[in-house]
Amino acid sequence: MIPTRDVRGRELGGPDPLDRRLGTASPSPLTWLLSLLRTRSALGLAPSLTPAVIFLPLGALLGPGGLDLLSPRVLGRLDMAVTIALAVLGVLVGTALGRQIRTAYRLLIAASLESAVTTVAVTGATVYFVRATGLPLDAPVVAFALALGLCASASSATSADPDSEPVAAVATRVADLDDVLPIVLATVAFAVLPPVSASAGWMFALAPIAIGLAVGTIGWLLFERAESAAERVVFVLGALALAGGAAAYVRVSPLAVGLVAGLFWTVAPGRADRIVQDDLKRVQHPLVVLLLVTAGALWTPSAASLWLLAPYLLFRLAGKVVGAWATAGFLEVRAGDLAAFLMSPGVLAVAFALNFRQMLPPAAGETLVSTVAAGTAAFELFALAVVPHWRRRRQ
Amino acid sequence: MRRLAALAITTGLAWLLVVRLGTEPAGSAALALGFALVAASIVGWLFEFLRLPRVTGYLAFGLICGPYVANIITEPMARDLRAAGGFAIALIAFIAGLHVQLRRAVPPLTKVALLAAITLIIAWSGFAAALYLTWPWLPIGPDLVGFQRLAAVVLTATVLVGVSPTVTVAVIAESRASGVLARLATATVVLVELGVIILFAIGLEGARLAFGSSGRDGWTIAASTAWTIIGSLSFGALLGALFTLYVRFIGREVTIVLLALCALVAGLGPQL
Repeated sequence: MIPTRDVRGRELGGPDPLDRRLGTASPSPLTWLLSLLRTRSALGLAPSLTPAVIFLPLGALLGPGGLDLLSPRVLGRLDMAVTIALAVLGVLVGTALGRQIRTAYRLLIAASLESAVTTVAVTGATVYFVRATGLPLDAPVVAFALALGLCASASSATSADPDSEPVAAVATRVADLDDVLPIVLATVAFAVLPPVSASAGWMFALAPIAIGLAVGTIGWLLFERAESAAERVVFVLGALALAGGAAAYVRVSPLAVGLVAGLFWTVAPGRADRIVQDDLKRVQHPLVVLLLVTAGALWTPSAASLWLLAPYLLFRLAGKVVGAWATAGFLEVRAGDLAAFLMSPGVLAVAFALNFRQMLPPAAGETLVSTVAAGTAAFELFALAVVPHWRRRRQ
Repeated sequence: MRRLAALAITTGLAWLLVVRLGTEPAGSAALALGFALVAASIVGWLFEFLRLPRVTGYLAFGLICGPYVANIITEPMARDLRAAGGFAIALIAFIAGLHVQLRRAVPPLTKVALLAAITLIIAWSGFAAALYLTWPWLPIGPDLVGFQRLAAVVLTATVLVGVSPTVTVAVIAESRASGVLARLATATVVLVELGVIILFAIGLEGARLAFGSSGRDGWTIAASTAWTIIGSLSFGALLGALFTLYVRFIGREVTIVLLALCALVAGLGPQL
């Protein structure tokens, strides 16, 4: 069995640091009523509602298709924060990879295999479906299908507390690591997608590594020598904004740049990775909410997105089940248990979709985000129903 | 040495991307924000090391990297950064509000108001006198004479005498000051700014009469000025009350609510 110590839901982190400092709220008659909608549950810290279930519909309600509070102009302004949030998620994946690569390379291989199976299943199905139905897309079919497949491969395992049982801990670590391969593939896709020459393609492939290493070096030089906590937070947020902004500026993936920087901070001597992780806790929940609300606001119920939802749901489910079956032997857990815990796509799927939206033509990007947002909400609800039932049956 | 190396890499990366590689507008605001946060902090530290004010370092950094010198932060990038600027102002003002102790105001409000009034009158009179005397040599409207020149001088002096509570709070926070002088300065600056808003409304009405322009009538301007002052205070008080209730009775995910509130103030405030 894989060791289960130091396992936490990476995307959500722990409780909000400000909440901990403020302590518990005064008890009141409202407390009972509000406990039903506890944001703790909404943020997936308790195994009930997950953030995607709350904030994707909320974003759709506030977006241009709903109340229009998040108008296209506001969403355009939010692009800056979304770019930084993508880099932050990349850093979290990078630090998870850096910590586990030495001790749990078996997990990395298994997680990569599982995500590759899902990617292939959804990509292949989407290509066949689009060609068979003649669905109009303003992007190359293979590129679009690959983007959808990469979005489908993400897992978060937030439907259960990682410490609740050994298989949940393993699933959480698999979910932590199964985003590495999609980010690498997304980097390659970014290099191939735009109509660029071969030399420019090489530049696009190498740019995330170069920018990630530069940002990693800047952070490594600064974080540990900050004179105060406030200065350190400025350095951390500045480095992350630089990572996201530089990536977006040269049209490469902020997730990939963040991954390289996070990996660098973990592998390099010193405590840079711990510092980043501690300081990111302050903004981790707002960034998760931002990504989900933005994706919800971008949801447009078009015919294309609704048609694509069917193969997305069906083949992601099939991909996860087959992927879990293929890897469960390595991990010494039951395939059914692993598949059940990996159903939840989490915020990473939405992050991939928002990342590809920056690359694809506008209409195709909108279709992709809409399909993935709806699929994520559906899978989160499915996971809520499946996982507790599955656990009860096993017990 | 590590900081200087980090500054060199940061500047080199931004220069390579902006000046050498691209004119791509996507991500420019995030790039400018990251570059400004990292590099300006290091430059500020360098100035403090040289026994100079940090804020001067930030300003010097902005000047050198801005559109008129090195152009690493281009004009579109600076424009895009305003969204972050508005958000930061809301956050700084919120933190400033947390430090205002109404029950322990030292010195009392009447004395602060007197100090603010004297400061405003002296500064404004000085500017107005200097402007009136040198007006023929200024490139604003050297041909203006009589009442029209007076009206133009009143408006220009009012604009020049304006102060920024946000910058004051930022400087106080940066210098980690928390004594009586810091509180006095904050309160004085806020009152001076209120005085400037009223003075500007009066000056604008005077200029309208002097130049015979068919602008809004005096009542409309008075109502607009009153709304700016009273409306913003009321809006802030309402949001503050709601936030207090949230912290008291729910107290969960306070960071999300606080940031959403700042975004709301930054986005909705100017529209009101």
